[in-house]
Amino acid sequence: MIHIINGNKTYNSYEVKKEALRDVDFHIGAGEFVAIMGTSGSGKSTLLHILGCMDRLSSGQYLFGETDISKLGVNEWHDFRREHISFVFQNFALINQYTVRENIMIPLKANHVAKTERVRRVNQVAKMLGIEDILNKLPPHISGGQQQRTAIARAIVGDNELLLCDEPTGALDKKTGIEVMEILREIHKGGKTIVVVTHDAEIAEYADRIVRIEDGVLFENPMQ
Amino acid sequence: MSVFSIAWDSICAHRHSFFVAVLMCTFAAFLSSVVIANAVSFSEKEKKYSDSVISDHEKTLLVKPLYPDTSSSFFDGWSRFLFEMNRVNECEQSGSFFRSVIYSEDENGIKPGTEKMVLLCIDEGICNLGKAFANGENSKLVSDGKSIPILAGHTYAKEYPVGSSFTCRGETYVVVGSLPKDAEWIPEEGISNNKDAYSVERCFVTFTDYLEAHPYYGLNGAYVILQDNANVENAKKLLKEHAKTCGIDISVQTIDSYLSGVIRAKQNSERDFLKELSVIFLVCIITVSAGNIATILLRKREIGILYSCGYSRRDILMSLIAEAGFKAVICIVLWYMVSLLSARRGWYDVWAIASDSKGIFLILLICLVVALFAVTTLYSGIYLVRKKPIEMLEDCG
Repeated sequence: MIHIINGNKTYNSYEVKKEALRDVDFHIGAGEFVAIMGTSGSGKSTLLHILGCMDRLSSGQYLFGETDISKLGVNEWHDFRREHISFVFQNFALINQYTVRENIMIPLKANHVAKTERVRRVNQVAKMLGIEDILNKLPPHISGGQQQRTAIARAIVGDNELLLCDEPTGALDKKTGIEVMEILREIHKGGKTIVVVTHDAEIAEYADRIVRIEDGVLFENPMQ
Repeated sequence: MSVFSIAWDSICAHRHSFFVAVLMCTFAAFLSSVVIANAVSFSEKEKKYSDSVISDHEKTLLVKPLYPDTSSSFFDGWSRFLFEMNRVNECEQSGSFFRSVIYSEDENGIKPGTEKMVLLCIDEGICNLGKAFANGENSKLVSDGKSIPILAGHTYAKEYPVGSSFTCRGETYVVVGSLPKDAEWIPEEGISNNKDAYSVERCFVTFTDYLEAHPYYGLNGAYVILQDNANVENAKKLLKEHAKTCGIDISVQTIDSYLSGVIRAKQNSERDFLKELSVIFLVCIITVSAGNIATILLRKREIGILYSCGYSRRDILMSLIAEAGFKAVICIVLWYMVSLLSARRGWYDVWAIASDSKGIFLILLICLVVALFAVTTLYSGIYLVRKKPIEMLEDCG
C-alpha cells in the first residue's frame, strides 16, 4: 500500500543542514498496524508527516498505492490527504471553541457530506467510542481520555484508509493510554491501516510490526 | 454552502472575538465618517465664507477685533478669523464670547466712528442681550447709555437690504450689510447647532460702538481692512488718530493684501485639515485592518487543524472571506444605525449620512469598508494557507 523508496528529508535552518531522514526504504501493507519507535529527534514524527502528506521528501519517492505522492501538485496533495489519510495527534488537536460534535464533523464537512449523513456518522462513531454523552461539550470541559477519543472519532469518521497516530497516548495517563490503544486495535480489526509513532515500547506492542528509527535511519524489527 | 457553513461555525465558535472585532470596526468606521464629514463641512463653509467676505469687501470696510491670544502663527490672518468663528460655535453654550466685524462706508469714503452703521450681533453673549432687548429689558450695555444697538432678537431677524435705513431706540441706522436668514436667534434654543456657523460672523457695529465695547470683551485692538486703495493713506491716518485717542492698537491693511492673505491662509488651513484627516483616517484604517488580520492570524492553530482534517486552501480562504463578509455587513449596518441616530440627534455630522450628503458617499463608504475587509482578509488568509500544514500545526505537538 505504502512505499517510501530511498527517502531523504533535510531541513535547512540558519545555514545548518539537518538530515531528519536518511535513505529510508519503507513499506506498509494494507491493513497493517505499524509502530514507529524512536527517541526524541530521531525523525519519527518527520516520517509520519511525510506519510500523512503534511510534509514532503527532499529526495526519494513516496508511493501510496498506485499514486506517486512525490509528483502531486499542492492541491492534488491536499486532496489526496483528505481522501485517504487521517491523523490523531498527541495533544489531540481539537478546536477548543467547537463542541465535540463539531470537531468530529470537520472531515465530513471537508468532504461535503450531506448534513443528515454527517449527523448519522457522527452518532455512529460517538457510540462506538463511548462519547455520545459529551457530544455537546467543549473540549476543555472533558477529560484527556475523552479528548483523545474525540480525536480518534474525528480521524475515523471520514472512513479513510490510513490512520496516522503521533504519540496518541503521550498526553494521557497509563490506564487511559491503554484504553486508547485498545480502541485503535479495534479499529485496526475493522480493516484500517494504522501507523503509530511512539517512544513507549509498551504502546508499540499493540502493533503488528515495529519499526525503529535512529538519527533518521530506519531499522525493521519484526515482532514475534 | 460548505464555505458559508464553515464560516458560520467559526463565527459561532468565536462569537466573543467576532463581536469585539465588529464593535472595533464599527467604531473606526463611525470615527472616520465623522472626521470626513467635519473636513468636508469645514472646506465647504470656508469656501462659502471666503467668497462672501470677498464679495462684501467690494463695498465695505471690515474691522476685525484682535484678541489677546494671537500669538499662534496658525491663527494669524485668515486662520485666526476661522478660529474666532469656531469659538463662536463653541461659545454658543457658554455665552461668553463677543465677535464683531465692522463695516463702514459712505459717499465720502471711510469714516471711522460714523453712525451710519448697524450692529447685528448674534453670538450667544450678545444674543442674550438681544433677547433682553427684544423682551424690553435692559442689559448692562444697553442700560448704561452707551447703546450698542443689538438686533439679534427675533424681532429684527430678517434681511435688511444694503443701503436701507431704519430707526431703533430713536437712532437711525443705515444697513451696510445683511444678516443671513439662517442666523436667526431662537429664544428657546439660542443659535441652533444646525445653523451655518459662519453666518454668526455677520456682525455689524459702529466703529464707536466697537471702541466702547472692546474693553468690556477683553479685546486689545482692531484689525481694519480698507477696500478703497485710493483712500488708504487718508483712512489709515484717520484710524490711527482715532486709535490714539481711544488708546487701542489698530492694524490697517488694504483689501488686496488682506485677500491674498485670505487665500494663503485658506490654503494653509486646508493643508492642516488634510493632515489631521489623513492621520485620523489612517488610525481608523489601521484599527480595522489590525483587528481583522489579528483575528485571522491568531487562529493559525485552528486553521492548521482544519487543514490537516482535509479542508482545501480554497475552502479555508473562502470561509475566511465569507466570515469577513458577515463581519463587514454587520459592521456597516451597525455603523449606519449609529450614524443615523447621531446625525438625527445632531450629536455629530456624519459623512454620507447627514442630510446634505449624496447617496454616492454612502456607497463609497460601504465600498471602502468592504474593500478594507477584503484586502486584510485576503492578505492574512493567503499568508496562512500558503504555509505547509505542519507549520500551522506547530502548536499541536
